[in-house]
Amino acid sequence: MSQTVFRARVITALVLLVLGIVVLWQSRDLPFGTLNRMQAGFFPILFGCLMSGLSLAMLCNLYRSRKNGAVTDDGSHEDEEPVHLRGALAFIAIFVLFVLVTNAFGFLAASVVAMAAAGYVMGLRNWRLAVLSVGTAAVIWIIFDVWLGLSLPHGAWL
Amino acid sequence: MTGIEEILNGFASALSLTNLLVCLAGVALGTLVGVLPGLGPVGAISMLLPLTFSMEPVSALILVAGVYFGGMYGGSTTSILVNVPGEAASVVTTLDGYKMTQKGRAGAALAISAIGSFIAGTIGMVLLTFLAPPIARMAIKFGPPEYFAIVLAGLLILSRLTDKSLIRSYLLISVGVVIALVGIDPSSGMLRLTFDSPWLVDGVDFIPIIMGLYGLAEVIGSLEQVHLKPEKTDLSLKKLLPTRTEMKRSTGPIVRGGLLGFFMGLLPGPAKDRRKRWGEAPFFSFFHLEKSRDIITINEAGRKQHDQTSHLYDKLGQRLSPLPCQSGEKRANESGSR
Repeated sequence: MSQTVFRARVITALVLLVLGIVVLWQSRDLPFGTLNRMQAGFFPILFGCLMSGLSLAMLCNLYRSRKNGAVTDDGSHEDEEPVHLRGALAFIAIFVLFVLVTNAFGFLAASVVAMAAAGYVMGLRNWRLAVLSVGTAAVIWIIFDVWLGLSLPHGAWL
Repeated sequence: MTGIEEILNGFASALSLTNLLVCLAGVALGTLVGVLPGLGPVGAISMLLPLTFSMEPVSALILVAGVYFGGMYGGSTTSILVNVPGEAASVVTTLDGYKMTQKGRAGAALAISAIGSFIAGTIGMVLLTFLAPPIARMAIKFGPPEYFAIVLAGLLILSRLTDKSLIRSYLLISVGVVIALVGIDPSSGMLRLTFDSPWLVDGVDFIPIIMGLYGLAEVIGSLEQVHLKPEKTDLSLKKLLPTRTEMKRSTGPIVRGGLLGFFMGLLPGPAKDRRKRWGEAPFFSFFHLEKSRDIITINEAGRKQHDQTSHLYDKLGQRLSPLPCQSGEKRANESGSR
């Protein structure tokens, strides 16, 4: 495997190890019960241990792979996919923005803002961007609010 | 004899022109609503129920049934076309349906899905009519140990679908189960993994996870193809329909799916609750069964695996003629060449 894949897998294993420890920590006060009479804490503790153990096993495997020279510096491995990191981060930021604007100004305003931002990231400009953002919000409003009668969330300020 | 007479009377009533038109309307409306993500058959029925208040009881029931069947089918439309499942039961459809779309066989995939839904639904109805009492008696005997065994088997089989590495597979399954544990414990009512947040008391709903996993991933993936321009091609109806070979190869899975779905549906208990807790493990286990029969293959790396998708059609014993949607293949070619 390449260095990129190696680093990605190490980060994944570390994140899941932390998640497993967090699950165990959160479940420490829950009663475990017995195998015949499981209680609330049985599965969280079981899967927290499983996650932590498997993450450690994955880290050990990765360390052994590196030691055996399976990690190469050149080119890309056949399983790899290039990641559009800027785009991924941009869309995550757009979703966070969407949630914040929905809470403040409501669903329709948030739709317009989010679709405009998303269209801009994807390279749309001028009238196409306006049609995408306003048009999408209008279609959503017509389908859900007018036709189906589902009231869309209103913001705290509207 | 009385039972047969009642069945025949029921057919006579259902096959009247009015009721057939009501059924058509119900299926169309249900399909439209089922396409919308987050609104499944139950949501569609809830919203369209006021339409039935002024109708005859038989017509109202037929309309509601049509909406249900249409809603179940509608979820697979977005699964096939844009790799975003419309509802929980359509998740597995993305695995091969979207690959067919990328190969330019979206019409065939939609047609096979519709035909499969019709045949399997008919099988279920016929079996329900004649076999329901004895099978229900057996299904009632299913208790918590049996449900646990089914789900455990599904999860273990699921682990073989995801990755070559067992450790990574089980790790991902553990993550999924932990997400499902968030919320109130059904036995004791205690809060689990809520981090004292009121937002997590109801747990994590399945639809936002599906939207995040499939929708966000698809949007991010499409960022790499922004510079590609779609090409116009001539489409004929023949190219949009499945070929004879595809239909022949689909017959077995459709019938097996219908039978398996019938028996799974007979298991008593809140189906939504089972699905929320354990995901679509039975669907995935059946999917793996079909995979092992070399009838369908899965493609976990997504749209980049153009060669594997070509191999699928080789296995079907047919080289596709020039595809109706060249842009799909061009994108796949360009992506695979990077």
